Amino acid sequence: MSGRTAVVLLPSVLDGHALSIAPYQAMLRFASRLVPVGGCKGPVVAALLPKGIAIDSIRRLLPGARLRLGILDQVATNEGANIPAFSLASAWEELLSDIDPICCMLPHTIDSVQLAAALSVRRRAACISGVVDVEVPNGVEPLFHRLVDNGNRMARTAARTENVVVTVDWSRCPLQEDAPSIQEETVEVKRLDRGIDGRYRLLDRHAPSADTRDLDRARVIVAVGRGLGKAENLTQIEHFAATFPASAIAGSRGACDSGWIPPERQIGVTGKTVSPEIYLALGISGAPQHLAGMQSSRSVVSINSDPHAPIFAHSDVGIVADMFSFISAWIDRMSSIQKGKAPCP
Amino acid sequence: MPLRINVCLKPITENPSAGGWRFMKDSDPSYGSDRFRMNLYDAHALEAALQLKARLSDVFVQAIGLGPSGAETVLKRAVGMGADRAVHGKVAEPTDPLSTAGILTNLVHRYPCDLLFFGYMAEDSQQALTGPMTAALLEWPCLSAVVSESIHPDVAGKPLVCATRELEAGVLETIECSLPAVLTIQTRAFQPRYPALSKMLRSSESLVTIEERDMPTLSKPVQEVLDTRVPEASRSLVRLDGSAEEQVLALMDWLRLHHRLFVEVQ
Repeated sequence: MSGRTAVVLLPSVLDGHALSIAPYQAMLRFASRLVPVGGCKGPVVAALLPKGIAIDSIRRLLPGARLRLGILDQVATNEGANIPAFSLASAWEELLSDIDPICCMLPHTIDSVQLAAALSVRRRAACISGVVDVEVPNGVEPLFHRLVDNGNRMARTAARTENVVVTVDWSRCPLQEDAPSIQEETVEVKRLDRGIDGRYRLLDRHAPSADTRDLDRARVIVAVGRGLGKAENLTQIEHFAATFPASAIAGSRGACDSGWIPPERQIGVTGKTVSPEIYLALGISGAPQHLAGMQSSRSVVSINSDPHAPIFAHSDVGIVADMFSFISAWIDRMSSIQKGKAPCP
Repeated sequence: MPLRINVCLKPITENPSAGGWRFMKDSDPSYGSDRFRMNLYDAHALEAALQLKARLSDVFVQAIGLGPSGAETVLKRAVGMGADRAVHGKVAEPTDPLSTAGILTNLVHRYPCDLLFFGYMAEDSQQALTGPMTAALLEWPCLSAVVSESIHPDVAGKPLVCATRELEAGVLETIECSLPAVLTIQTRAFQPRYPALSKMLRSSESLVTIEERDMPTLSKPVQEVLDTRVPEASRSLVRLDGSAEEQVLALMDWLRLHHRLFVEVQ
């Protein structure tokens, strides 16, 4: 394995998306940890580019990186956005064919997981998705940590192949001011013959248009999960939310799938990312896909009848209770205070 | 000839652990005959196939599931929900995604289809890999995280699938591709239907069981879960115990102290 390297793949560079620094940093950090494994070299950063793009602009975007860039001759400069990332497995394979990486790292996005699966089949490699940490306990065998069972357990997984493809979930990695340094800056550019998988035709892509700015501005977000049970129970949640200043109501994917909360108010990977002062999670178990959308909230308060719900490990305050009993007691208390009947707490 | 849709269903345990049913013993009395349930995402995939069947009429829906004895309850449920046939491939040990994809590729050759549906991911292992890997092995196009789909003919009259995918931050992407194709189905704003009793009663007649000796040989695992543990907490939890009234007062105090909320009622 001597001299082999880990490669950080950046699929989003092709469609002109600005480089997202958090996943890039996390991948570089994890890739650097693999250096002791069999004396492998420091990480290479790889990207596919449309023809005619100025290489210098990519160098400025990724300063200090050992770059390996593949130019797709069939793709004009402004066409990159129309090409699904997962249709480029052949091009990636061609770009990396002569370096035989010990590990390919991709960001943990829906498209990249699909690309990772296709790459691993081509490379006959293990594929480990949603990696949140990497350790090399004995300097030989990297162990990849990933969440399983809806976030209830952390599994340490080892690859049993000569190379491995992983997707890195950066949502738990703190952003560092200084990116890991790479010692020698190099740029290799390769023109790629293999084209795009032409079996796909992109017809439309659009972001949700509903106005959810209230969730961005809210001081307090009250979010409900499947624990809401039925749509009629939402009235109680509205009364509860109304007792907080500048509050807004949102939901987990489960609550939105159930039709209780409008889909544009879903918090999580496939919905909005919010960071209010207080996030109140009611009847939400805390699947990793949900946590990714709310974990930068200043304080998290969770109410759940299941004492083992994973959300409690990511909360500042936890209340194990039936959410409706708690809400009733809360509303009773608030109305008593307003009427001046109850002694102030 | 009908449009044939195979739906891959993962039987998972009621209380999944990273080892899945590897650690379950047949003798363990806590696992009865209903020890397996249908992975939620796969239930949505089956529902999507059944809704296509209702819209297009000439559709044959076949459920495929891998697992030990006992896992057939999930496949019978699929028949109860409306699948025309269910295939239970017996495997004694759970497999990694690449091995599972290899077995499913073999079964798709035995039970051919035009569309192969998977749930977007499994609730227990949460990998979202088996569907795209099976597509790569079959060399079929794959559309993942699909929230709606339709079938229509191209200019030459050949069927195309047009699917809308839900991506990060709610971005919706509509892509068209030719058949055969793999779709991985995201959970949606409908509940998978309940099985019909009349269909459940006859479900054994529509169940095909492939005994372990007739299953493809398992390749060497390409990855291994060494251990699992409780994940580290990202925040220091303060638990508020007591009666509902006491919990309410404690939360008010906490919010007053940390966020200066409700100070006016102090």
